[in-house]
Amino acid sequence: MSAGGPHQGDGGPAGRPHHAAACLDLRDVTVLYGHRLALDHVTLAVPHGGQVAVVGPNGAGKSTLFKALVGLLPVRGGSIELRDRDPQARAQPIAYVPQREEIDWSFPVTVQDVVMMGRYGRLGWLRRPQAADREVVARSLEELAIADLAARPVGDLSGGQQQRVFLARALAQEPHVLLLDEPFTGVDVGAREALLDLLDRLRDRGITVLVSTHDMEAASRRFDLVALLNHRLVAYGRPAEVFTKEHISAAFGGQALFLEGMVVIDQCCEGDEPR
Amino acid sequence: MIHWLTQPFTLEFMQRALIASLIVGVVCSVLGCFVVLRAMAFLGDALAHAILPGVAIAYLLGANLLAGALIAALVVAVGIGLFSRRGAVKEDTAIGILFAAALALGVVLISTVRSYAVDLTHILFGNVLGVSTGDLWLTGILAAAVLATVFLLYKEFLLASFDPVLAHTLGRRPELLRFVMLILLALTVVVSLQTVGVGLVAAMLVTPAATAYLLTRRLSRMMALAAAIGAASSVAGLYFSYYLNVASGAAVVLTATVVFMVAFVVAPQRGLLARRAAARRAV
Ligand SMILES: Nc1ncnc2c1ncn2[C@@H]1O[C@H](COP(=O)(O)OP(=O)(O)OP(=O)(O)O)[C@@H](O)[C@H]1O
Ligand SMILES: [Mg+2]
Repeated sequence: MSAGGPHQGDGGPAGRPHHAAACLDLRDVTVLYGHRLALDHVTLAVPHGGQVAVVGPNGAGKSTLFKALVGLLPVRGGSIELRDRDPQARAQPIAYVPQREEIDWSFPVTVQDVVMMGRYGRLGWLRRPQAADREVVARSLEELAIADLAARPVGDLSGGQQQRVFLARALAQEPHVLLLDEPFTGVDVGAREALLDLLDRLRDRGITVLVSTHDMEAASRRFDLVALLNHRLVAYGRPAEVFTKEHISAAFGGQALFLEGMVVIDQCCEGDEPR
Repeated sequence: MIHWLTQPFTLEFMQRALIASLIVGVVCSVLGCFVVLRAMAFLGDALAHAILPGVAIAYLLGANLLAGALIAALVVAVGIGLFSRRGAVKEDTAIGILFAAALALGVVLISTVRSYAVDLTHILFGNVLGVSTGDLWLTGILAAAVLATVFLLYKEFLLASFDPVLAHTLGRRPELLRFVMLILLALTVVVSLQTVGVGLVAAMLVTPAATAYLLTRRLSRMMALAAAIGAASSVAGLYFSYYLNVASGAAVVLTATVVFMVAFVVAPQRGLLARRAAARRAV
């Protein structure tokens, strides 16, 4: 198996001792767009409550990985297994906040309506939201500090506020696993710090989090684990183990410049997905 | 004045016309909200025209026209649902071809009858004054079924219309819901057949809903407002038709259009004047 990368499976939170109890278990996951290989035999295990930064150049397959995890893209080979810590717990395993929301911003819905959609998965087809659901929504809005926007139409918000709405909706799903695709792209420093604080609180609650990012500094400082991706998994493990010259050259190729012990990644179009 | 208002409805056929118009005004407008938000107006129009052959066949066989329309509408809804999945040609092209062909087939069938000009006009543009008690019952039952479905599946339609990606990740099947929507559209077209006819049903689906869209920013309110506008336009249109002696379906549609144009100019945020004012403030 070529994909594992040298650090996969040694010691650490991702290592074998936890393997049996892994929350998310990917084995040889392969995804194609037509004939184009987007993910090539990706194998990785994320422990319960682990926080993983998924890093890699543009077009590496980070978004593809997340879409495959939530079932938006068919997996051509391999398997994805999701284990509930508590097997009795009902449904709603994964919440996903896409890189770019493909929605009609002029749609007549309020912030409150959008966040309530996070509860629909638990409600099923016919049940209407109950008092308990409204409570969860209110808490999620508080958590993202947008309670005062609840009655506003989503179209009236700024980009940063809109992102918070979708984060609040993901929290309202009360997920085991949270996938955030490039949440740091295009937000200011304050929003970035607020998001990192939120991740710390989620850690306390034991929610497993995968975040794709181009922010290597945040990845190495604030995450337990880093997955370095370039179609195949180049390396996976603790930040210090993953961010070596060798791995970074392997993932970024000529884009990586090494200047006096610092890595500079030359990325012209950060966060741009092909439209 | 009171007399002027009540006089038309001392006639029994006018009472039936009033009830039928109100039902159509409400059902079209409520469902129309999703048609507007999901940009399905063209589809609704196509569906309406595509049931013409069914009506024609029922007419030739001397069967109930509404029953013929209902069967045809369901067949067409299923057809469009399957057709648009394949994707050999773009969906609107496929729909355009289908509905023009169906319209032509309907006209050919009806033209085999001698009195065809009158009958065709009735089917194309409605003849609300000719609604029978039996028709009224069928219309009422279908309308109730459509409204009940929209009410029960409200949040599902909201989810699938607003964010299909989330719908998918929550394990929903957006295609299935789209199919339900097609069936509801088909039923609504049938309900509208006698009041506004095949030719104008698209206007009833779109115009009151679009007016409500300009006036509010929340779907539930948009639906309530659209229903009110649709009902009011229907009643007003009926009066115009009675006193000016003009075709009733067309009068209803024109009334709704005038309401839309007023809203287009004066709506609080999305209206022409409000946007002008906002642009001036921004300068
Ligand atoms: N819908 C699509 N059809 C065909 N190819 C696609 C599609 N989406 C992505 N790809 C290709 O798959 C590869 C992986 O894309 P993906 O969006 O997962 O990358 P990414 O790591 O998220 O990049 P970025 O950092 O720019 O967001 C790219 O080569 C891209 O061109
Ligand atoms: Mg991406």
